[in-house]
Amino acid sequence: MNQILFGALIPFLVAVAIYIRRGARASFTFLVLTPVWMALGALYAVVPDLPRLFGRPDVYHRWSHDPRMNIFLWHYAIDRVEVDSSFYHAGLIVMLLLLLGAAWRELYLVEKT
Amino acid sequence: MAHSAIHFATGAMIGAVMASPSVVRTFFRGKPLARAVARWLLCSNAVGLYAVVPSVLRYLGCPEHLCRSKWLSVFIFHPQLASLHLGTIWATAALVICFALQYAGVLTALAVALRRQHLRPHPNLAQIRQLEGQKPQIPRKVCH
Repeated sequence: MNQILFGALIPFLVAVAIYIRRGARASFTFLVLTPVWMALGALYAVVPDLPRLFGRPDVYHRWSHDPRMNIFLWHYAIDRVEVDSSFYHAGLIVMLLLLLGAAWRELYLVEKT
Repeated sequence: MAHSAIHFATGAMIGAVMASPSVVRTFFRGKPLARAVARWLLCSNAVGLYAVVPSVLRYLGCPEHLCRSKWLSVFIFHPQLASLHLGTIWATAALVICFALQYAGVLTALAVALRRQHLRPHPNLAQIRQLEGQKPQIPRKVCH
């Protein structure tokens, strides 16, 4: 879970920086592309876990002990220190709510003008 | 025990379905959608939070026999969902699907608002037409 959060966090922070730089306004394309990039980032961060989902536990175990898996956003290093916590879900919810808030704010500003 | 995120997502989806007729009505009346969409989001997430009340009670140290009793079904089928033993992957998937539904709703409303803004006549249209109707004034030459 924390790899998913970490993978989605990087595009999210880049999007926040762009959003602030544009004076807290977002185009429709920006609002569509941000969650797509976040999903791709999260997917990239969990690539070493995918063989388990596709029924290949042998590949999954081999990859989980390979330090080269750090190219997937430090997946191997995070696995070594990982603890399961509800706070990761809470972090993901906060991030998604901020995204929803930005989209709703844009709707409000468009209808106001 | 199912993950709290699954309870939240189930509640949020039921809340979204409950509040959607109001948004649809506002859309067909041609009124601004922002307030209706805000109410829809608030209702959806409030029902999601209502669905995780038993999980919060358990976290706060509520006795186990109370947390497993049948009457907790009033919190969006909490015991029934808990008996499914769904793990973290399903919980994350449920959260993401719930968010995608809400986000798609807000983006659809935004697309409608942008379309309406595009079709709305310019506020100074009458003035522009009046100016277009006038003959252009050519400045006179000054003879010395």
